[in-house]
Amino acid sequence: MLIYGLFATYYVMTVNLVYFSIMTFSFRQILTIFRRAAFSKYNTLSGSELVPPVSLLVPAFNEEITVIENVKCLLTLNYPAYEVIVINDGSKDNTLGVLRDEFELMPLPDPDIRQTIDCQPITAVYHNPKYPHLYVIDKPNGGKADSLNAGINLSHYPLISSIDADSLLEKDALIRMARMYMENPEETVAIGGDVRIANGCVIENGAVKEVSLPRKIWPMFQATEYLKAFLGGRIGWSSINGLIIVSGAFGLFRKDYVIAVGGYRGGYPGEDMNIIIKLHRYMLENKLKYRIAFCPEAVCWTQAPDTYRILSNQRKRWGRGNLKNMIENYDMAFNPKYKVMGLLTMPYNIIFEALNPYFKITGLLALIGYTLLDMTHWRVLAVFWLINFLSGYVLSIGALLLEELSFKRFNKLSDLCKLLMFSAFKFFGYAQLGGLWRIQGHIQFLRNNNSWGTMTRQSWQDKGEAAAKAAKPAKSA
Amino acid sequence: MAGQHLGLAIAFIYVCLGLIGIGMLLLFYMKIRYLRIQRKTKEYLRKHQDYFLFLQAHLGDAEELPLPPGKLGDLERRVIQQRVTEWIEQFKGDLQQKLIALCYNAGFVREDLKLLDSLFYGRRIAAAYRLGGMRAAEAVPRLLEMLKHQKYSPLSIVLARSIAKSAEQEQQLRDMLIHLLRHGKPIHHLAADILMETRLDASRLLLQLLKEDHEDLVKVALAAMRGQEGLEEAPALGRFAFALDRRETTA
Repeated sequence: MLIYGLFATYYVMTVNLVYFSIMTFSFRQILTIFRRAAFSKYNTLSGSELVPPVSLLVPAFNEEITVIENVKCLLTLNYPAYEVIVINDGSKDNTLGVLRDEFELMPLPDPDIRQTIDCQPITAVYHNPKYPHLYVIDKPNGGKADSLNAGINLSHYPLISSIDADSLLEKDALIRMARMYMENPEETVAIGGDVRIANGCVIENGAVKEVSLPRKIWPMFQATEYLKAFLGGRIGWSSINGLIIVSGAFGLFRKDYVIAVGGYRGGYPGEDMNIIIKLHRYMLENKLKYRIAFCPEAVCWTQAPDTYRILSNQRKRWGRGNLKNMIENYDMAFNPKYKVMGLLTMPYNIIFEALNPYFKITGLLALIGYTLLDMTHWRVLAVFWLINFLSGYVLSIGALLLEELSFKRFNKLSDLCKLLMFSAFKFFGYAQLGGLWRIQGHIQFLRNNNSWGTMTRQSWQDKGEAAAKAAKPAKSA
Repeated sequence: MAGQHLGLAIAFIYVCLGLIGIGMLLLFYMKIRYLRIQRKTKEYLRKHQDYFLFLQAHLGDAEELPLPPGKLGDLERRVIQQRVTEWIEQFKGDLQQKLIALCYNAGFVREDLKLLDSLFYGRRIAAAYRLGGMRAAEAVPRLLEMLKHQKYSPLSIVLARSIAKSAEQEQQLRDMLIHLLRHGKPIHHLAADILMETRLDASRLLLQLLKEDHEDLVKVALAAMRGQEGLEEAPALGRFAFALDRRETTA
């Protein structure tokens, strides 16, 4: 038992040391990212015919509350040539109806659909010449991956971008990504954007007008998590070309390569991670020079789950998707043929992400049992817990430093204090819940339970009004 | 044995505590400093509102534009410089020239030229960016030198754009393209977009590039000509593109 307790302690130290190393790569990159963002103006590029055109794919399932605002936001991006393809994935609500009414859409008599990737048969494609860049696909429910594949089959442009229907893109987000693509078009196969939590922000006309932190605790915890994952993790992983995921909420892809790998894999969540693993595999097996990049200055704002039930469902789904991807691609782990992906990213994800909750929880239980049996001093238990807490907190502070060095989105000293507090509170229950949800996700996977779970939406307008109301008294005070 | 492990673990804890302490101090220092700069910037923008209105009203006059009266602090000067540079981007012709002259007379260009010698890379890049904004032709040879020694990165694009904005000779633009394209990346579209920032006669320049032996320069010219209206030699594009494609296919 003692040996296992020691093993768990060293495991926690090792996982955090690996994370420190990745964060060091992020720190090495952050000043370049800051300068790139600060010293680039997009007034010429966003009107240039030299920018590659992009098809924005927006899968929508029961999104009647948010979809109009999101589509309006997408139709007004600072980008010279793009189309918006909304895919109504057999919604049970009136998603298609509200879209048809708002944009006066009519069915296209003979839509030009290429069946390059298998997907559910498309029922109809809606269009209105008044909105020449907007298409709406209607199809039976087949999941998010299937919707993206349907969108690819209709898309007219060489680059595709997947965007969640509950997210809002900043006006410059796409042009920032395109600029990054243009810097190395031959090797860039995918670029991920930064996803930030919109809860608590003041939203007007489909855009975040005033950035603020969420007022509820669940989104607040997620805000600290997202900062750590995106700034602390993804910048570092992308700098060594070991990025394993481009968030489904906002990513840009070369269409030819997505088609070459057979499109998105349906049937399971985690399609955003799966497509990136497939792209890595394809490029490495075919010995093609490539990069999968991360563009933290291209920001997409998303509604974070604000209740326990919705959040736990989301995290269990992520746990299932992650496990499925690891099992499907276990052959890549420790395989030098797959370079950074095989020697670092996959082993890290299997040992330190998928199996993390098991080691942490069993290690803690072993030490508690050992203490109760009076076989060791309580100090050992305290040391284990302190290592867990402090090393994790160092990483959270590192992520906040990265934010402060580069983007400085939060403009109040109180925001910094709140972020520091919640980064610490996270270790008193929330982190443990995260482990539990992941284990529950694994159990669901083993039981073949593949339901999406409940996901309710709130209108952006309601959220914006609530945030504005909350901001006004604060200002007058 | 267990004591050794515990000792190591406790050392790890002390390291973490040290890092947390340093991190927090840095965070508060950076945040307070940033908020102070933000507040001061807003104050200066408010203070000089009348001056900015004066500039707008007298942009068309024959006289040179002055700086606001009185001694200006470093940040105050930077705030004014930033506003004037934004206008330089928006205006063309004589109005733009007057604003550029203001930057010279106010000493903004001189200060940033000095900063190109800074030991700090960040300051050199920031100065290069601002010099491009102010269309500082004197800076071009130095910027070309910087671009020549710059490893390919997003900051190469920043330098190249500054050169394109400021260059007064076609040869400088050609050199800029050569330095930018020497890394072998197929960035002809981006290079064309950068090239079109020039104040020089774009049509003449593109036609000269089309006659180059350097294949990358021809490709940049072809890319830049896409969407350029009124070019008499447009039919020649097809011929060039065809010749290039054929050469690539044969190879």
